[in-house]
Amino acid sequence: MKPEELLYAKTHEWVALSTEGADKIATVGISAFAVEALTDLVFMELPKVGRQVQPEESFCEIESVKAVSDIYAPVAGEVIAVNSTLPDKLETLNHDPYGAGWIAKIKITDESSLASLLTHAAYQKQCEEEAH
Amino acid sequence: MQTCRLIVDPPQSGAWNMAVDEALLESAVAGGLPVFRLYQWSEPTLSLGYFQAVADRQRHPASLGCPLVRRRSGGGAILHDYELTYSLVIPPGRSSRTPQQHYDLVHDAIVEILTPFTSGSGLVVRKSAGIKRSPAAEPFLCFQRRATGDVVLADQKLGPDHKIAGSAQRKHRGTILQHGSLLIARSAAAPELPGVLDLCGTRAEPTKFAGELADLLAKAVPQKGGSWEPSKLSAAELAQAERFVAERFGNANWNHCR
Repeated sequence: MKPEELLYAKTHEWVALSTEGADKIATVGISAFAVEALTDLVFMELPKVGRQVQPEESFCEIESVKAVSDIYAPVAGEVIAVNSTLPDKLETLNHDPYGAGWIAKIKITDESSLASLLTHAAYQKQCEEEAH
Repeated sequence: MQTCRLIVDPPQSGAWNMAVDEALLESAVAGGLPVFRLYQWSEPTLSLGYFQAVADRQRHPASLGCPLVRRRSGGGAILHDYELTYSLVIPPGRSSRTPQQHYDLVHDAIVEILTPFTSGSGLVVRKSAGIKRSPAAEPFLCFQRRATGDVVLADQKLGPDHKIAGSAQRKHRGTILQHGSLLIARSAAAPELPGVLDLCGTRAEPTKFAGELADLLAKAVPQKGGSWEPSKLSAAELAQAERFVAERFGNANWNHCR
């Protein structure tokens, strides 16, 4: 997926929207900016399939340089799939954060939760501000 | 000038110590001030790094009889006994530093305060360059690992070094909770790990010595644009810590979750 075509949460998760039948699906990962800031990833715990999540709710945890960080659900919905091979291949997040490094797919239950997501341009601006 | 909170606590249980740090983290998330807390442990306690499995404690027979608590921070297991422990809580927007820079902030202060104790001992206190291993190859105990910037006591003639201080973090909603431990003296529950008193050949009562180091460390850790002022937990923080003991750190289901 091209980063320019994705939506972003302020907490550095990316969202790719698609439809499956009548359902709207958000594929979720973390941005290259977030991966670079985390450095040396060693552990990740994925959410359970079937879990209901709300925006800004911690639904995944990751450890790097002895620092444990939350990854937040960017939309409201139900986790319907997780990238179960990712915790054993965390280097994938460095090589392909927007493709093979996807974390979970969420069936969106409240589309109003999409309104707070940022465009790529707005997210880039936020990253530039954080880097300074 | 912005005031920051300095809390010096008496020795308490592992569950309570972890719950207080978590309450201070949540307090900072809600708009509270930075906190530097110094504390000790009322009984030898094994803390696991957040992602460590309880089953792995079998790798360390000497501490099997000790109570266990799971930390919210990463890294390896620690046997807390004769130890000075700190937590540093930094609210959102109060830091532009990397995790390593936060570790260095406290570890540089530890090197500074311990340097006078090593004079004449033939040892030098310094920061480690670190040893990189795969997660599966890391020793169970934090103090047998070497991360970049860990504080070690080393023989000036390039003999083996001994880790005496290390730190780890939890990041939550833009707030950082950094824990760290400074080994004061060897514990019977981790006899392979000498502390500062053992290595320097200094005779002192460990708890009293830890208290003296706490005073020095509180003065040595810099607070950008502010000062550390003595503080206590608020009633709300105490109530929240009690909840965290019940729900997490004193709860076997939570401590044994992996």
